[in-house]
Amino acid sequence: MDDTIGSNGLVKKSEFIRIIIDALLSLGFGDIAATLEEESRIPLHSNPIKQFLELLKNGEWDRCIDALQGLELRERDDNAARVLLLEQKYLEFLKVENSVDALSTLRMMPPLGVDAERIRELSSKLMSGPGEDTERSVVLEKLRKLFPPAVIIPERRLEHLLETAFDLEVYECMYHNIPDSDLSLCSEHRCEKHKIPSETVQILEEHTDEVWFLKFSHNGKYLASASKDKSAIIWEIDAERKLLVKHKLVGHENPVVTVLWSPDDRQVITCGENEVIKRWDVNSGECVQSYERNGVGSVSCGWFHDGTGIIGAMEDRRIYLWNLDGTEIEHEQDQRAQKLSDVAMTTDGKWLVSVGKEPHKISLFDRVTRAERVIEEDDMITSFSLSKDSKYILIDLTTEMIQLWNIEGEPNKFYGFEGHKRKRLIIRSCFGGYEESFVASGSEDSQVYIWHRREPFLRLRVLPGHSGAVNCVSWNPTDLHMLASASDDGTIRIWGLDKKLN
Amino acid sequence: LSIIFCVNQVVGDNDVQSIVMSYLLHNCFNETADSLASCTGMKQPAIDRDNMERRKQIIHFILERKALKAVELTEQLAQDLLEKNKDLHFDLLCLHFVELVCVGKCTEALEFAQTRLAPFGKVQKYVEKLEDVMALLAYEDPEKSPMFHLLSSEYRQQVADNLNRTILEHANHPSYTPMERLIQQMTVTRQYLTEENGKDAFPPFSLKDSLKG
Repeated sequence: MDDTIGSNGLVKKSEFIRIIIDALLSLGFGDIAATLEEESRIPLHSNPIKQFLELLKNGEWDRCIDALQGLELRERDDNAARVLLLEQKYLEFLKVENSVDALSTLRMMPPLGVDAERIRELSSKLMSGPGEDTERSVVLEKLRKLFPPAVIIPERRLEHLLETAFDLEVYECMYHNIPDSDLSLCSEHRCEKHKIPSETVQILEEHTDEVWFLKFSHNGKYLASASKDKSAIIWEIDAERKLLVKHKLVGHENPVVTVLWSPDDRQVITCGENEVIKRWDVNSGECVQSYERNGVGSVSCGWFHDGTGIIGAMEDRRIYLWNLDGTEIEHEQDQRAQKLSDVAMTTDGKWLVSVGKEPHKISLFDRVTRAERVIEEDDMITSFSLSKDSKYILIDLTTEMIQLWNIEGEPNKFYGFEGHKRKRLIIRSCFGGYEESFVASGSEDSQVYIWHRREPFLRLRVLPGHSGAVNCVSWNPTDLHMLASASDDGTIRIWGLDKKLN
Repeated sequence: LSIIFCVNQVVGDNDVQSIVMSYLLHNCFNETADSLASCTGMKQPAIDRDNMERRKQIIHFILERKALKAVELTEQLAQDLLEKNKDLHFDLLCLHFVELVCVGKCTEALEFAQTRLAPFGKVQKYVEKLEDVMALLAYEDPEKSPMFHLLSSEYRQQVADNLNRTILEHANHPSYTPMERLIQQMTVTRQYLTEENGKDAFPPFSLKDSLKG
């Protein structure tokens, strides 16, 4: 019975020492590894195995096959090992275009009982070449499985075990919201709630009326906001993580309902309420293009995934696509049954997402096949937002429910988030935080709500502060601890970590 | 119903002789054909003797395991024939490959495959056959491999027949003899009758049984 260490009696001492020896070797400390083997009298591998591994590493196939004899494998495994080694020898001959030796190696295989199908596959490589998978490490891995367990230790086993432990810790950390670089082997990891924004760190008062929409740029350096005061503002984040006005985008004659960043963050588009869509240069603050349709006002807008075009959802209940220069690409022929709201294109450019032909449906339109997938909800949909990788969607319903769906492949319903308030207005939600694991939402009760996306029943944060309905929230994509909220009280609040606890 | 009437008709000797003659000429049995003609006093049909001679040679080369020579002669006889019949061309080249393997010239066979057979490998329908053929190289004794039928004389005969028909077709001659056509027709008609009336009334046509008398 092997000695064990640790309180659970699960870790065998000899295995523990052996993986340490392997770790030392992989770090380049050959001498220390040898000393440890000597002092502990526990070798990493027995001598025959050591020699075998050395021969394999050097590609000395014939000697490797001979060495199999001394390893006392079961007959079936011994045979399988021989075949594996011969195959590798064969493939390596093919790689250097040595057909003659490859052929004679191939002919050694039928007597070993290799099945006819495999022989065919291998023979055809005489014409087509060795193909993929000729790495020696792959062969070693296959061989290892033929040996009794623990006879051969996989390289870098300790690293792998540690990374698995980290993965588990992160998975189980309910409030995990720190950059990966902050993880440490030296202490047990638990984020605790204080790693989630909870305090107002700045109040932005530049707008003179309700703020309806806001969004951080993809690079997290800017924030754009849209207001009933008919303007949009681009804010810049300075070195002290404070936001300052960069440009006020003036020109709309109606309230601005959305403002969205181009994929390269150099431009934004704004949508006037029942008006036109405008494109602005972020650096200069100038309007460079307007997108409109005679006599038809705009409801919502979006960017093409590659920034080469603009999507518009219009008052005539159709979706329009324009080139950047303003020329129309196409528009929907049929009108939808109800007023449109949000539109978006997935980041792979494959799907056009919009509230569909009916108020409780979301339509995913395949731009290539022109086919449509539908997500059906139980209640009317007011708005939606996509995750960064476009694999998930948050759908805001009139019944104060935010529904999470997976839209990679067949749409699949996940969780519903509740607790916030919504009666009359469009209240938006968003993904954010570490690997977008959190869901945040505005609310008519003037508070910001935050949940973990796998724990819909646990409201992680309810943040008071605003004195009017919170219409929209945005989480900074590159700063895990910065959240912004837009409110009917005319202000924008920037939320950060509780300084006392951090 | 017309079959029943035929039973009562007398089939003339001339018809039978023509059928046999056409069979002999199709299969290049020229000496036998001459014999038959002189014995019966029938006139031999005007066929292209030269064509028949060449076909005879080509077929023999295949049966004698000299597929490349067969290819050479075919190309002399009809330049574009093999181009227009790639399946056949492929089969002939494969035969040559098999010949090389059988006499132990494996390296040569491999080179031949890499130069002449590889282009066919790019077309999906030839891939399986090509893999069959390449796999022969793996066996010290090809006869013991799963693809041993490729070495058989039956297979060579099959390819030879195919080439024979193709050459005839190319020269605008019928590629199937009247004899074969009659047997085919007989089989189909019988099949039809069996379906309509059951196996007991009309058993399927069997040549072997018919020959027993």
